[in-house]
Amino acid sequence: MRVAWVEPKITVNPYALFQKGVNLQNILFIEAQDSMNWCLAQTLEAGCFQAIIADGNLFTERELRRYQLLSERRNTHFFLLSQKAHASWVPHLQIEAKKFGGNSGVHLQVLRRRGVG
Amino acid sequence: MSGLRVLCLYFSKPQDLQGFAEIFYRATPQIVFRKDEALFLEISKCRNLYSETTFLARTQVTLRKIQAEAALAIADDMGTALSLAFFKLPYGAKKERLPIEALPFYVDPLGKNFLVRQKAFEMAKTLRLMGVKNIGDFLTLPIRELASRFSQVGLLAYLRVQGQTDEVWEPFSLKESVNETFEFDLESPAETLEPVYFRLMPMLERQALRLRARGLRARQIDIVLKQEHALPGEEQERRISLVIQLPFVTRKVIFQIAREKIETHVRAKPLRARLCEMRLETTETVPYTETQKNILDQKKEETEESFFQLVSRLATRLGRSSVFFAQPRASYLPEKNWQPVKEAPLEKDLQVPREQMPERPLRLLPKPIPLRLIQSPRFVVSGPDFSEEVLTVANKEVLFADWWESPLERIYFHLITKNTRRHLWVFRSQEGHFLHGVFE
Repeated sequence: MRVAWVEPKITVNPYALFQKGVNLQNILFIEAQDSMNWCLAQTLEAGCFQAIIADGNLFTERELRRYQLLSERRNTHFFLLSQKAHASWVPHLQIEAKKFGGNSGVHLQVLRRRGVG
Repeated sequence: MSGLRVLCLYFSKPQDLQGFAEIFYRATPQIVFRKDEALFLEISKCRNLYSETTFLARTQVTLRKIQAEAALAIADDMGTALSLAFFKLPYGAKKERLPIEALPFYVDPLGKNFLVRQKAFEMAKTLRLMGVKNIGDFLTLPIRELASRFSQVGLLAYLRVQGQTDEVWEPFSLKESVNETFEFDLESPAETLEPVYFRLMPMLERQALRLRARGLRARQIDIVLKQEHALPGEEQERRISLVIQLPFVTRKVIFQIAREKIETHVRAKPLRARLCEMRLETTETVPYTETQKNILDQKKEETEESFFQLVSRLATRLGRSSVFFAQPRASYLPEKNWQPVKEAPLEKDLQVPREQMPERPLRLLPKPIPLRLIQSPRFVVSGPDFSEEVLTVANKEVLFADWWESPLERIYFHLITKNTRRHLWVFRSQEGHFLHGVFE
């Protein structure tokens, strides 16, 4: 499974991903700088990733809709990460993740679900 | 003669033959050229790899790729090969069929000695008047008569046609840099980019083939567009860099990326004069590696090609250091636990033990942010844009930097804030407290 991780400046720690068992052979890191929209459009259109992960705080509704259409066309899962939940109608699924019990557990809550079986 | 087989490529239009010679260097190191007209390759050593018919076919394909035309012929010596190519006789034709006018090609196949060639030309004219029409007839003439009538040139011609002597093969050497240049017609320089794109593809092919012959491929190419009028410094020659991050990107894809980059560059900064020259300069190379194409899974091949194309496109636009894979590294310092690499790390590179280190935060700040910790009356941590009470402090870890760095010692803590429940990774050093990462 090939994944693209796109941020304006890479802040994710690949070693932490490696510690959690993620296979780093499959992740391409893209530091988009000021060209976030262009990078995501290119990455989605290429159709060679099963999943693309991006920072969710940076886009307008129109841009989100465009990425949604591209990801549906290319059968790519598109994940947007953000600190706070957004009241956008575009995402199919909105999930809140919280740690509990120190570092040992993660609690997931579905905030919105649209058209997902 | 010693069993040589010589392939001659005779070009109808003058060419810069050094570049062509380098393309065929992959097949044989024994190459010489005749001015700007013809190339000779000694291919007897290739017999175990290719038959002559296959070699001719492959040569034709190569010439088509680089948009060049040449007549081809194979013979036991340079003179015969050149004559067969010049007079366009089919493969397998005997030299006896060559017209008598082929004699100058025998005495001076490399075109180095004008006087000898001129004498051979006169000799051929005289022989034609005497009724000697072709090389076959020439071979029936007694050698003594030829020597007495035409002296050295006649004797040389006879021995060469017999195959008893040939020109010396001088060693061929590759040029240091692999650059391709095209000069537009001075009377009508390029006013738009269309002529540039028209020339770009065959130039990319030639460059790639020349590098391939050296066992290399280009990782970075600079396209230089030279404007015709005297303009200041960087204006005169516009330089556009292309980065080909990953291997197995086809020339078609490189051309598409180049085209996009040129258009973007010219749109941002329009040209001030017409173009008189374009150049491709290879600025960085890497060893050429081959893989087996998966012909049973076409979809996978297409996806891979799409991936390589995307990476090259991203690297060209954003810079090479902005597109990378990550490879873990054995180091105690969190910022040195991994390194960016151009290609996906191999299995053996992922053998660094995961459990060796305590858990690291998922977000690591490129530059630690200074913090203030106040312990009384409440334990509060303050940063540039937040201030929160601390709930717990745990997991003390002492790390030492490399001896040449400062500060040398960092004491790390895992702080959990009371209100927002953020998990912060903070360290204390000689210079104070800093936020280095966030556990998410």
